[in-house]
Amino acid sequence: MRKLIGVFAVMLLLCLNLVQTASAHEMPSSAVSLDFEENRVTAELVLPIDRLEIAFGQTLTDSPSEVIATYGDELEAYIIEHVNPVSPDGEDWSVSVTDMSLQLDEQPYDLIVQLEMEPPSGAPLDQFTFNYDVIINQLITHKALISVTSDWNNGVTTSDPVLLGTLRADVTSIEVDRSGGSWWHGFTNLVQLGISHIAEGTDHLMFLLVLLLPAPILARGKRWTKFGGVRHSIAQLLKVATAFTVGHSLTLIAGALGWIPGSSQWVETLIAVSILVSAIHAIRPIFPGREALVAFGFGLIHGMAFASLIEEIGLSPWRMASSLLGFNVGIELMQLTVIAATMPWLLLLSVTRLYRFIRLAGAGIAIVASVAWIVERVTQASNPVASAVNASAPYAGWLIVAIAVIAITVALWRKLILVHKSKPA
Amino acid sequence: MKKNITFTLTCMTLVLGLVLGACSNNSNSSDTAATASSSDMQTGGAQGGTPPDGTPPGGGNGGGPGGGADIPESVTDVAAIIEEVDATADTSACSSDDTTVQIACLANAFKETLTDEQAEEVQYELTEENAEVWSNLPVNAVERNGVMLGSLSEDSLKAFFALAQTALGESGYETFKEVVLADNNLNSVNSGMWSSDYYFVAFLGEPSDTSAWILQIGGHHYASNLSYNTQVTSATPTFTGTEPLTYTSDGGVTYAPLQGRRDAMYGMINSLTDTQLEEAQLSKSFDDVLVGPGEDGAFPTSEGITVSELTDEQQELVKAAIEAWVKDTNDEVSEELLSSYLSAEALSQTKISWSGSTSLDEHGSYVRIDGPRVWIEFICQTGVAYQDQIHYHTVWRDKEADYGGSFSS
Repeated sequence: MRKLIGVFAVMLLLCLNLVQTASAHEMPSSAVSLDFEENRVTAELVLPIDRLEIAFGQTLTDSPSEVIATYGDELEAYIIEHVNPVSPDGEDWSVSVTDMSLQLDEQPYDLIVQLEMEPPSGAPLDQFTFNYDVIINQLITHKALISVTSDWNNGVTTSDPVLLGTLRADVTSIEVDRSGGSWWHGFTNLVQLGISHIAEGTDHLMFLLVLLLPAPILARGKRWTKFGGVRHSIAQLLKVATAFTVGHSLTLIAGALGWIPGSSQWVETLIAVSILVSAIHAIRPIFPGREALVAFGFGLIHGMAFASLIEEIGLSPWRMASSLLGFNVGIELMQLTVIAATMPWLLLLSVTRLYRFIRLAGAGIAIVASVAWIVERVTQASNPVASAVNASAPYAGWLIVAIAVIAITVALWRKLILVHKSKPA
Repeated sequence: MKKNITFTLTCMTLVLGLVLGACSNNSNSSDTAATASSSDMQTGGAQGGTPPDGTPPGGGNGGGPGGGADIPESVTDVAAIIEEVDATADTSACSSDDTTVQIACLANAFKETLTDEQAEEVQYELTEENAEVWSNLPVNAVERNGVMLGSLSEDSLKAFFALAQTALGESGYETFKEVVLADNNLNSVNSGMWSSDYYFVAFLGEPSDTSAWILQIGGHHYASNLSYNTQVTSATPTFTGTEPLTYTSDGGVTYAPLQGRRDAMYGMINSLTDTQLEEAQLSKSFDDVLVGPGEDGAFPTSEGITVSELTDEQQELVKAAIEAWVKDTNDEVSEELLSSYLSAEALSQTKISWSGSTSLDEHGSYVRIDGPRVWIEFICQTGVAYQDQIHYHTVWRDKEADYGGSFSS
């Protein structure tokens, strides 16, 4: 299990560039990504300029950066002529170019075209014949990979695009049938996405668990003392978990709506810092009684990391709201599961003196991991400790098993001692 | 108090033991590992959804080793041995007048030298799905059938070369060797993508004197499908390509692997007059062969100038161009195929055509021979390893006899 942010970043990059990277070995291909919105389909075409010029008939590779300025209108006309979605009863869709940009960072250079495609009134959005021969109309050995990158109703999101097919030579049309989806399908998909991303996010879980480590016990001055009672423990737990949820939900929503920037190197670093701070707190109380506030504050930062995940989803307010809700429900479900699997054992143990060791050991692990992550994220280079932590993260589940076994053993032991002590008395 | 410490220590030992135990047993615990690998699976799965160029649709893992882009470990230096073994390999154990019998015997002799595991890896069922697994992409991008030459022992490798020499004939083996050695040159550019070690051999169907089987040899710029006891005698589909165009081997020899084919095509197309060239020019452009890997049977309508309209001299050049491919297989097979490809009747239905340019030294320069059976394409492309040079891709197919006609519908 790798750290959540890394996985996000890598996956997002992979997904966005997926079709390109997969085909970049030898022959540059075109990539067409379809996004199914509520009443239209948008398409992004990634067209290698050195292949486009063969079909377009004008040299584009001499001054690639000038391509749009020089040939913008002609290119638009050429593309419109070669992209023709047709409804099942043979009616043409309307197609318009909404944006053109250039990718000049990496060879082969690409022209990136955004299209808006709308079915004629009365025709379905989810069923059409996609006639497409941009470049292929002349360069018949060129390939265009057609994929769906988002289709809410069918649970397709940018993180897991679906390849529909490859167009080449005399195969220049593809039957698109995305019928059969539903709001519920899309919603459950987002819930699953939320669940899987919290399950893979070692750092988010570690933060929450470490913050909950001292929840059952009372702080007196600069020391943690004794078990504060079941009511105290559960109240603390609820406060912390709720505050964290409120915090990350706020930035998740703000980020997804584009109000604040999404994940970055510094967000990642701050997340690691949040673990360090709560680990220190678990050793010596540095913000006793204000755990909820701290959970809220750091929740805001963790939410920024989640936000980058669903930026690409749901362009209409309704889909956006549904996505946010589904994703957040998934996150909460997973969080609650982990809390439910861990806290009973910690509560059982917290009445014993052994809990001190558990708390210190937990905090110690978290300090080592968080410092390693901080270094890794600041320097943008892996280090042996961080690698070891990332590599051992999959076994974290066994730690819970271990704690459970200890808790049960201790509980039985205490019972035995009590029975033993009560006998002579 | 003392009791307390003992107790704590016991517990800590228990925790440690459990954690260590959990770690070492992880491969069996799908429970915890599942969350870990799901991210990898997600990205991996998504990548799988987008096959790289040239991946045969639906093909890829018929009965063979599953790991698509995983290149096996090399134990033998193929480049060194292929240069060292001369074109006089020891085939005495399998002498026979009938080359089909001899090739089956050599194939089984090669199999004898393999470990049990390798012998299993080399053997496939003769199905269309297995047969179409060949490509012109580096082996890290598209998997091949069979055992990798670099993973063979030196003895096995020599037994394979004896088989290949007999099956491909002298010039065919030479072409194979030079294409393989070109990848030794590319190895210095990217060792994860190219190496003379990364070539494969597979048997589709058990090698036999009587029942149908295909000897499949393939790697980066090479694929041949030599069919025996099939409906029709055949050596196709055959893909040959090369990058760089010329190189000096570790043994100090300078090779130009497909120079003969290039020159034959160049001589043929440049013998045409301006009017003939105009008639032979294709309206479309090309940046690769059209009927390459994964395009079985996808021949377009014939275009170009008919060979029988050409002068005798020009016709001789067409024949020479066809021979440049067809003679790269054993004599028995090539003679039979040539008599069909070059018959007066066949030539009256054979067309030659070109696109891009006739120079055969710039990107997009393309020449095609399109007969009732024979199909040959030659294309110049910008280099991949050496981007300031061009490189060649060529394919030879037989419209009736690809894979020995085993799968023609």
